[in-house]
Amino acid sequence: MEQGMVRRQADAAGGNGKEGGGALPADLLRRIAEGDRAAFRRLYDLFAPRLYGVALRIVRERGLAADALQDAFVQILSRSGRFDPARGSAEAWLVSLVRYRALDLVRARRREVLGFEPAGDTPHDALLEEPDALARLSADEDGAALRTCLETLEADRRRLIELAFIEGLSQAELAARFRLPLGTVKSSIRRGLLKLRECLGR
Amino acid sequence: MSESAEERDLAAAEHVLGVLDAASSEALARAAETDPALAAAIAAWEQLLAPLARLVPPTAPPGDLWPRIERAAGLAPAAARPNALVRAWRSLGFWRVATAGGFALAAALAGVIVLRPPPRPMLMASIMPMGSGKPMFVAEMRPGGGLMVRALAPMPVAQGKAFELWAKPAGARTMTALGMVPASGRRVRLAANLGEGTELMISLEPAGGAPGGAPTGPMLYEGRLTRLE
Repeated sequence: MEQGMVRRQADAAGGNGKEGGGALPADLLRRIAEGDRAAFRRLYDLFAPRLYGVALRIVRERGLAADALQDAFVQILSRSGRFDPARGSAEAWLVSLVRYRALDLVRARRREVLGFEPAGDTPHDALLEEPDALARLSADEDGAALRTCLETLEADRRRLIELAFIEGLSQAELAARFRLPLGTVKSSIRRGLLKLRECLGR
Repeated sequence: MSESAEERDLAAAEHVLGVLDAASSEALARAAETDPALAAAIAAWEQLLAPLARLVPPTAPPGDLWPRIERAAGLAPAAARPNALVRAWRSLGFWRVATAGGFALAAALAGVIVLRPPPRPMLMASIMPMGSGKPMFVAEMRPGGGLMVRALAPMPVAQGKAFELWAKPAGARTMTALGMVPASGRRVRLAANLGEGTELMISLEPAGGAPGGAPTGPMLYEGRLTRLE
């Protein structure tokens, strides 16, 4: 159990545990909570490119993605003491903070700009089949297990879940994108999530 | 899982996935603040789905993002304070310029003293950044001997560095090393028997302390042992 946790943290540092100069992200968060500014910078250097990529996919605009990251890192600084490594990986904690902030910003933008539509012409769907992307997903036990379970889903359900997470699309936007009734999208996602939960033994 | 627990877990999953509309998502996040089971369900789904973020290729953020974060987080280096202020602070004496927090601390300590009078007056120092600012460390000379030192808030310190406390008794010409002080809330007791008016200084040193018995790094914080009336 303890070993698994250590491995997961090492993987979260850079996919292979070799990056980070011996500083695991969970350790960095602990040091940040103790006021260690060097640790905060180190965490930024380790995670900013990945987190910026995540935010950019959702908000589709560089300035807005930078805003999301700025807010998220200020939150990381003030909430680092609340991170509990016993309850999960630092990577998931960081990704969640950034995604919620990006989702907030993009939802606000959609309200402000009537008809604001994240650019829909990029072949995002191709991303989901890219060997590099799939290799990154499988970089640790958690990711590998998730990938295995995703592959047991019907192709459409899997795609809905992956696109919802990566693009931050709402049910209504997914319905428009896939030309499906809203109710179908909703129940399809729910069935997919239930199946994932079951497959991952939660 | 009961039907309502099942419904709650699915709502948590939809929230984490990001498919709920803003109002529902916000309501759920707010409900989780007072509903531990819901908070746990959200945390579990965050763990479960987070690896999906790795499907997205990393992208270099704009170069000015880090300085922006530093500014927004209040970490940007403060402008140097004018020397006049430093002099004014030094001439005013300790408690009169202590911050509101300092007054509260003094009042709290005074309360303790009223309840349990120590055998002889207690000496205290509030240790602040050179040239004023708010107290960062507090040191108290214990009546039975020993100096208790504590950081008032977690302090930033670079990797491989540590804080070392030095004393310069009134009239003395040199400083004596008292020991290392932790950068976070833990209190340490240092062997020392110091009198009123002793200057206390904290420098930044290699993790094991200054090698030659004299400070090698910058002096960051200072204070003076004052009788607590």
